[in-house]
Amino acid sequence: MKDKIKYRSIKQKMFWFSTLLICLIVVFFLLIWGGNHYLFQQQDRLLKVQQHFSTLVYGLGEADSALYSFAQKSTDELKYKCRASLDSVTEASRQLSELVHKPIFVDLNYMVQTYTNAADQLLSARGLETGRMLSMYHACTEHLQIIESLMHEYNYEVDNDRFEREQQLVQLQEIINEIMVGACIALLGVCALFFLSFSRHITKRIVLLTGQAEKISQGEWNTAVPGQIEVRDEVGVLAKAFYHMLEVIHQQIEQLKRQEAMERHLKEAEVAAANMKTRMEHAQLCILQSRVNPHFLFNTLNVIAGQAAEEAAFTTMDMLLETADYLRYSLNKLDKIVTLKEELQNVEDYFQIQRRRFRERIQFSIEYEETVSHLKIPSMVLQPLCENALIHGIMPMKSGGSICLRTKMCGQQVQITVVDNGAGFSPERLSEILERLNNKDYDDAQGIGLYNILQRLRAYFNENVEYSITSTPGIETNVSLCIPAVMSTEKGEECDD
Amino acid sequence: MGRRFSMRKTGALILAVLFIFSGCSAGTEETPKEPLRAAIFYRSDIWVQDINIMRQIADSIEKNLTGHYEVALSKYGTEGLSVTDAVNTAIDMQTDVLIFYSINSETALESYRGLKNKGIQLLLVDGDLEESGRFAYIGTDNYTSGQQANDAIVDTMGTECCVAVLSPALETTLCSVNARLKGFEAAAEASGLIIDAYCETSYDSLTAIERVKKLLDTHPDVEVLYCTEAVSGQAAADVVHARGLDDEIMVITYDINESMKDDLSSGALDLTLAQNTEEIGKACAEALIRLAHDRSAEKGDDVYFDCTLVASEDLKGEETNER
Repeated sequence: MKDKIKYRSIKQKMFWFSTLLICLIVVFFLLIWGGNHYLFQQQDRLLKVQQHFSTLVYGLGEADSALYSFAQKSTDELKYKCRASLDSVTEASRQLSELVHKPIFVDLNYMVQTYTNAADQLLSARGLETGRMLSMYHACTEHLQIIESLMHEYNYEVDNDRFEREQQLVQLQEIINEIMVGACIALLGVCALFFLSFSRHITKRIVLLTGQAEKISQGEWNTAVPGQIEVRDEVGVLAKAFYHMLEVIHQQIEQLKRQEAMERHLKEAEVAAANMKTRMEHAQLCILQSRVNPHFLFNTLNVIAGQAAEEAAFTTMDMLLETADYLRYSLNKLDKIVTLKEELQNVEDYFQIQRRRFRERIQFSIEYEETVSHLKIPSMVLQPLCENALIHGIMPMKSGGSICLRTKMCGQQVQITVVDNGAGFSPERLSEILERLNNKDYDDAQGIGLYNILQRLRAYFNENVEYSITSTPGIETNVSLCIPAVMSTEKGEECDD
Repeated sequence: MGRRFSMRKTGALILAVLFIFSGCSAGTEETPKEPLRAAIFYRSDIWVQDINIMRQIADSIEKNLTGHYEVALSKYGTEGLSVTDAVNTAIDMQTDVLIFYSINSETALESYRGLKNKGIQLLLVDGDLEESGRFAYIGTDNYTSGQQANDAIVDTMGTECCVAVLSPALETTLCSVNARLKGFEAAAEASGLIIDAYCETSYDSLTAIERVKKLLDTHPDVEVLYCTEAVSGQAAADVVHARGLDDEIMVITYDINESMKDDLSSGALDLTLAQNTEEIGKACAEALIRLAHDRSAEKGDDVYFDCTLVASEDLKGEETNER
């Protein structure tokens, strides 16, 4: 079983390290304080030993002198003096036996006690005759002499003790100094080690993260994401979040790529379907053309025109010839690229037929610049526009009307305008027409010829077609197309049937 | 969870061990007692400190008592401390045991008895004196050492040689010297060795040398000088060597120091009876420890040590070892 990685924040780590450091410093200062305290104690002890020994030596002399005086003259003052000296001697010897742990100072204490006891007997024997008192004093002196006979030993031991202690203190001082230096070095070492390892621990991962972030900023999105990230602290959290974000971005990029591929496939399928539809329509047209048999129709119309000439029905003959020309163009040039001149001629033929139909009621006119004659345009574009103006503009009117077709160059483009003064469109109808024209999903089966014209023009001129429709009912309706001016080659482009 | 449980168990185990250990140690700890206080006095003004037997014994006792806090030993080097002074001092300092040498005199005996009255035990280490009411004697068997000296002389010179006895005081109260002399005399009588002369030397070296010279002048036929202690022995060796009589006169004495080793090597001194102070001190320390544990003991075990005979041949091995 894998051990779970413990999360310890940087703050926590810093806290524990600070605690450890404080503990170490406290221990260090306790050691120093303890050592110094011990040193002071020992020095104090040395002074006390010296002081008590001096008190003892001096006090014994004082006590002896006072006792001698007391033996000769027992006064309260002398007794008090004796008592004070004896007390100081007793206390000094007791202190010495406690301070210097050597058996001879215990002996000294007992000897002083013996002497003090003898002195007490003398002090309590106040009132006896001087001879007896002096005799008792001599008994005390014997005890004192024993102490004094050994005093050189005590003196030697006190000196020896002082010497030994001083040596120990010097050694201890040296040890304390070494500990101080050692502890300082150790503390510094611990701090340095911690900060080195800590900064290395933190910066190593931050540097890694920064490097990868820099690569990403330069567009290298394929940066590898580590399998497992140890989340031990804030940097770990940051790294985990960063790699998680990177992973999400990777996934989204993949998703976008897949989506794009799908859309491309879809578009290709749509284009293929459209092509297929066009080819089918063309095939249907060809079938229709073959069924109509235009040559038979044209020949027949020519025969009828000849018959009309023989019968001197010249108007009929002209009408038949015009109709034949119009039909020939309509059937032969369908779905071909023609010159604008041919297209205008076809419109003129159409207008001629309509003039014979409406006589003086409707005015048809064509205005064009010679420069536009050789420009290319898909066939059967202008005639449906004019026919629309006739059917939807002029014919609903009871009388009168005019239709004018204008073509002119506007820079690199040709502007084709059909203007009529017919019924026009109400604003609502015009909005509906424009909406349907702008709707790409519009189905041409719904029957707007203008839509088909625009589609064909857009297909030929790569969408570079502009149009506008304005209408003031009863006054003027203006349908305008703006297409690129493309010059025709010698023979022009034809349908590939 | 398992780890935490085991840590808790370990902690509990450590606590239990500490508890048991502290309980056991509390149970086995001896009740602190006042240490047995013992005092030993030796002369610090003695002329040859390196043959100061009392000091050597004191040092040995101290060494062997190291770590035995039940005995507190006080060592005192004094100038000319008499038995009475030592006893009075011991009484004043209320010591438990006085380690001392023996003097056979009425005054000394009275002092020794004074010790007994004060409840202070007397441990004799240099010269036995049963009349002192001692607790024990732990030291050289001086009487036997006299016999050892006689035997050595008989072995080397036979019984027909001319023997002179040198002692600082022929009627000495010093039990050790007295016992040696008595032992020697008894052994000599038993072995048929005739003592031709007695010479009272001195504890003062110069005086002793003068008296030895006088002896040799008055007794030119002396072949053996038996000295009852080291000062006489060194004086005899000096005079014999100075007169070029190393091969003619056999000098036999007691104790050993560097100067006597030189005399042995040069042939001025033929034999010395070295006291085993190290072992005496060790035995004393053991006796004191026993007494510390049994304060009511009235009598201790006496321990007698023979002297070691040291000749110049014995030093050769020592010299080799030193090298």
